[in-house]
Amino acid sequence: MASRLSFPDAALPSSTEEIRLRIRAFLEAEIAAGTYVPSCDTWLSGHDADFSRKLGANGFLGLTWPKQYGGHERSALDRFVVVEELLAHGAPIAAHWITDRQSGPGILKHGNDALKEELIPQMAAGEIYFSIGMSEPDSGSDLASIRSTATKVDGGWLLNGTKVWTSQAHNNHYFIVLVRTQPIAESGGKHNGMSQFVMDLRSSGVEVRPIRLLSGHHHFNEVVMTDVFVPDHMMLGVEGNGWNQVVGELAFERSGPERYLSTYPLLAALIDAVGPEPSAEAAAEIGLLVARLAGLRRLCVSVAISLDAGRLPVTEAALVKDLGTRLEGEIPEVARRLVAPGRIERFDQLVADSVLSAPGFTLRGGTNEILRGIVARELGVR
Amino acid sequence: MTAVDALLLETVESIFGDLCTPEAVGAAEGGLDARLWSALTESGLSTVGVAESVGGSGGTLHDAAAIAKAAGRFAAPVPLTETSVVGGWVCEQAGLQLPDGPVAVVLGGGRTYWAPVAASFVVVTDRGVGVVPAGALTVGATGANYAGEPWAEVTVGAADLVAGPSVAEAAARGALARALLMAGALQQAVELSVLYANEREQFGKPIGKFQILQHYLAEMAGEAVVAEAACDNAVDVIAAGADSAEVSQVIAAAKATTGRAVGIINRLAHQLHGAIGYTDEHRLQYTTRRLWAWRDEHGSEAQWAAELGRSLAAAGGPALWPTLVSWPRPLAV
Repeated sequence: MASRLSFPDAALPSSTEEIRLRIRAFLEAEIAAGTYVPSCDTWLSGHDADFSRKLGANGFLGLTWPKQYGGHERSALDRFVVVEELLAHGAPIAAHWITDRQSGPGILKHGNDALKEELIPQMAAGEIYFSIGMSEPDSGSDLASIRSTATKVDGGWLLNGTKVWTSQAHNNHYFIVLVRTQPIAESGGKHNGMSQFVMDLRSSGVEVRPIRLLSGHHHFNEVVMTDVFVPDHMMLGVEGNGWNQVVGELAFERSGPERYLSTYPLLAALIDAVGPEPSAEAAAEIGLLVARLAGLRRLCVSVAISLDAGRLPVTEAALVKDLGTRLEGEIPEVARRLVAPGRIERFDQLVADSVLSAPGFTLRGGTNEILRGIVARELGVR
Repeated sequence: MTAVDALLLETVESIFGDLCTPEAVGAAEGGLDARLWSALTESGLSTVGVAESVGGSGGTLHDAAAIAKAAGRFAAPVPLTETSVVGGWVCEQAGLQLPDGPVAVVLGGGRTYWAPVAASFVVVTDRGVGVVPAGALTVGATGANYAGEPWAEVTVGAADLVAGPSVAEAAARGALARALLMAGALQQAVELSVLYANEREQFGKPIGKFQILQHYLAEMAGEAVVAEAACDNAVDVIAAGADSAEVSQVIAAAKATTGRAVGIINRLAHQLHGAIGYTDEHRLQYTTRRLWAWRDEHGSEAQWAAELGRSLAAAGGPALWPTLVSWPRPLAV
């Protein structure tokens, strides 16, 4: 029943308005200066280290992190606002995206002091970038079946195995990798015996192989680890607790505005492309997309407020991601139906980028089929 | 967001729960359920959200919206939202006393929902608004929607009119009322489907064990939740004192989203319920017939979506984002 899903407060505090206006002014100035051209799906494909450093220098990264590590100790809702403005303005944010969203928070939560002191200030400055090391060739939706291992040696661990779909591993400095530190046979259950490590992607024994997408873009990689030495202090959190650490972050990973705004720049361009007096059909299609988007944003804000209040709305996040990723995939479908190609070059580019990236929307971060299973369970299907 | 009084909601749900049995809802078709109407009137629930100064029970639009959603969820066979959310609002805007008894709202004349059972008409024309006893206007052909909720063709004759909301503004209010009813009924369709998926067994197990049906249920829940969110946006933005153009936009979004959800949720709910679900004896039909009717009343999803799309196009692409993030308004804390 829908009422088992809870989407309480949905209004952002007015204290978030100050930083919204600040980031918006910053982005409008950058666009006007020609620093970047607003594009779609930039949180995965728009890797621009200069831009990330500029965001760091202007205080827009590590917003919620402690000041002692270079953070700004602002609320998670301030960060939500900054992130949604970055996405809506199609800014190139892939370099620091994972770092700011989950690697930094993960290290702050589970890392030891040495790790925090070494890495967090550079992360907040937008100078070092992280990737995710979870999926493997034979472990996608069934993540707990991973086979990569870490074996204890003097002063550290030796990591072996292959990670895949590692976005930006060829550009980034580190990834946080989930591996088995205990075989399933001994761990007392499939979900036990896994641990997380912070691994330098330039360590010896690491091979990063590109995986090109059908669009020709390269952000995915395969990362092969052969006896890669990782020192003890780079273990993240508690040995054997890797699964819980990963799952605890899913609500954060799944509910963000990137789950429905990946093609927003195209929607805004579509409104201009149909002109101020569109046909009834065009008006209705655009109106319905925006109506749904507005509803979704409310749900997304509500999840963010719940997270900020210390709740863990895992099911609600799954539901928002299922709805949002399908909607962001519908935007290019509508756009190409309403505006013929060959009229507006930038519009055509946005359509092309969106159409060719769309298959990923409903796959990354948990497929929609997995998400619907989570929602159905919460609805009370036995 | 303005919190709705928990006690109020409890009272509402207990009245609807007691009186809106499938038998009572079925028996009321073609008219209204007089017992339910009396219960709502006696407890003051039929005019929540309408100022006491014009004869209402007081309370906020948020309270009225919560009651409207509950009425939709329980398929309440009474012109509750016509009386409070639409008629009461017109009266309050115009400073007219809201009469006792069920109200129908005449929008310039023509098909008027609930007219055959109304004690009074709230008349809205572009020359002004007024309140008249039901007998004072010419009532022509009558009929009923898919759910047996009656209507009649009403001709507006000479009446005492005062300044008030325009026909378009009152029609938008009607669309808001239908959207709220739909938000509740959509939730009920999902709830009934979850119950049935757990209780019906085939191949030796509850059909809810089948992944395809789990996915149907998740999709239905998602559409219901996003539709309700669009309604909640509308209520928040209207309560914050938006101007008429923006009120029209948020109501358009609510009516378009709920109307769209009906097509998806009704289809999947009936598919999941199998043949029994579209028989007269199963209660699902009281919900799905209302949903099919309400999505067409006071403007279909296509009409409202086009209305919203036209206003967005006129404002231009760069104006969209600031508009989106102002629904709902940030809250001073």
